[in-house]
Amino acid sequence: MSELVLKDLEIRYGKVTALDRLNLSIKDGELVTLLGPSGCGKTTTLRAVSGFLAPQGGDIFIGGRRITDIPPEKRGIGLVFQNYALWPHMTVFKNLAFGLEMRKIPAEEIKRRVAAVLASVQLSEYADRLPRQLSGGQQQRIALARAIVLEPDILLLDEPLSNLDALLREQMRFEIAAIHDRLGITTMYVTHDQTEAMVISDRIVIMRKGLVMQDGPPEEIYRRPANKFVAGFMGTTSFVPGAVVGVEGERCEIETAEGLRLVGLGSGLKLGDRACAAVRPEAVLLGKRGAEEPEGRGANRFEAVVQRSNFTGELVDYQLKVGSCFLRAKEPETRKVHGCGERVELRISAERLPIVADADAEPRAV
Amino acid sequence: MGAVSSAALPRRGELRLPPYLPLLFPAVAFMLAMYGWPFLSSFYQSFSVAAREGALGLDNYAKAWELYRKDIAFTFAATILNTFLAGVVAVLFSVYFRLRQNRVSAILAALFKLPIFIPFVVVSQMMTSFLAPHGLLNIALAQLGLVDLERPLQLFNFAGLSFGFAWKQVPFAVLIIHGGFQMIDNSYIEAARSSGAGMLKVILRVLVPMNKSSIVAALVLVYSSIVGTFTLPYMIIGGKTPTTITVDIAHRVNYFRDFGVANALGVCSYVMVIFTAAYYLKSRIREARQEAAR
Ligand SMILES: Nc1ncnc2c1ncn2[C@@H]1O[C@H](COP(=O)(O)OP(=O)(O)O)[C@@H](O)[C@H]1O
Ligand SMILES: [Mg+2]
Repeated sequence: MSELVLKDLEIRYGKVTALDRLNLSIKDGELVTLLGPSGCGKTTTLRAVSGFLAPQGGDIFIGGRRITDIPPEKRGIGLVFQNYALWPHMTVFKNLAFGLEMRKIPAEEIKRRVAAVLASVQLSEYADRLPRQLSGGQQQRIALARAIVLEPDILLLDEPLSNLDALLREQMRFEIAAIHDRLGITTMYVTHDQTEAMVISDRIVIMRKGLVMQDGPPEEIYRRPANKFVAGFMGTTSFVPGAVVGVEGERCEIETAEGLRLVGLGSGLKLGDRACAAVRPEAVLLGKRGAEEPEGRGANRFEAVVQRSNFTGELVDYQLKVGSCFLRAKEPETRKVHGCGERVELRISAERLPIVADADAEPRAV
Repeated sequence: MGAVSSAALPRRGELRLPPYLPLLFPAVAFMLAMYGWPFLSSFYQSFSVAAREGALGLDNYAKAWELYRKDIAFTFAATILNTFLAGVVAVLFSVYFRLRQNRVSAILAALFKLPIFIPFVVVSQMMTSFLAPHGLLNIALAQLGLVDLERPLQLFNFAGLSFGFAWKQVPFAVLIIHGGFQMIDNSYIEAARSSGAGMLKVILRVLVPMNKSSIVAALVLVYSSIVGTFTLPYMIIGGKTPTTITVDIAHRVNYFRDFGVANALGVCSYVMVIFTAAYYLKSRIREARQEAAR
């Protein structure tokens, strides 16, 4: 069992509070992503877990054992850094063997284990190379291999893919997810890229200014953001502000100042509250004005004017104006592109339209 | 420099000189005049025998060998040993300053650079009073009950010389070595520690090897400066034997106006330096190539 638990973790740098009583737990074998903008405390959390930063308050447990005061070299944690941090004077083999040597493992077994891990990242032929003789993607895989060859209880990755180009980054997401599925190491993954988080995680923890904003499976975070901050962080969201005019279970209706009514999903809202509809471009469907309505009742239907349309190959990216609001839409239908100035009808399914309180996201310690 | 104008239109088989060559001329001329000429002239003089009206021969070297071979050996041994000593101490200090990054160590690191600016003469003067039989060091040790002032530590010898060199040279070496350590990102250290390495292993297996080039640079520079120091050995050891070549050179010149032997001794110290300098230059060039290839 190597469950990771952070309890009321508090870290300050002088007067700056980096973590404000953070509570977080990662189940054995789970991959949890810390997602949030730069400076929200992700790296700080990781450094506290790995033991390079002593918390001013709170505790850290691995598998039920309190490790808050244990030095980093005795924590059994594997680290992967954004800059890879492969030791430049050691060959790939030596980089991987280093930790095993520290554990006084016999040379024969070191050879065997390094070879096995190198094979698992498809870099067996590169054992005798120096790190600088490898490409960025290969260095990244070696960095990962160096961490997992020690069979750590916990694996921590700090923005491991952000130095790679887009194509490689996408490929490595799947590779990391596959390695995690195979080895089942309890993993804490840090990124500021929401797509990366969605692809890779069992669970996502959204952070802001040292506080947890929301903690849940990727789909839940996406479909039911707890507040405006989370809704805004997941993708390119346009907010349409209004007042709550109807609440019925999860369904919630708001009316804008211009009298537009939008129905979506929200929770914790009362009649008269100021709220926002979080419109995602991928939730907006376009149709010719007056066309038959395929989705039945309940769909939000508006008339819009196309302000701009960009053909990107896989889809068309529209900027639309509804009343005084600007919305984005991404249409997979690329055969017929609506031109600038064209009037179209847009529909947004209520199921795909989160409604959140319009206050600036109130920090909520979970 | 006619070749320069034709460099714009190179013909086949013609040597192509880089167009910036004229720009280098003042620097090269300056270096040849200020450094090359005196070097060559002292080299020449070391073979010119005064007793035979300046005819060339090995007499100066024979005499230098006969009179000073002990001192040559002493200088060589003292330089190597003191360089090594200063290197070890400097690495320890630099590692400390690198790993303990707080206000105290920052202030210490800054203060520690001060001895670099103190001239060797002043250092030597300080050392003679500090290391004297009834100097500050012996008195302090006596207070601690470690030394009997009736029989104080005799430090006007190799030990005192080493202490003086270390006092003056370690800060300089720290300046270079610490700078190199500062370039190493924390992640390299943290990767090693989370792999199970304690501090000692981190230092020996990661920090020192990653900083090899600045450590070598510091050693080479300290080595060459120790070979050439005069005041410290002159004031601490003086005319006693064995002493350093530099003291012998001064002796030769001041008392005998014997430039031949003095220059022969000078060439001995060039030889001591030239190997390390060559090694240093070679590793620098290799590094620059690797940097360019990246
Ligand atoms: N060594 C430090 N000294 C002072 N403040 C720091 C230090 N490291 C981080 N901080 C501050 O703590 C906050 C969290 O930083 P960090 O954990 O690095 O954020 P993230 O990794 O999410 O970008 C930021 O406001 C940052 O400025
Ligand atoms: Mg960070």
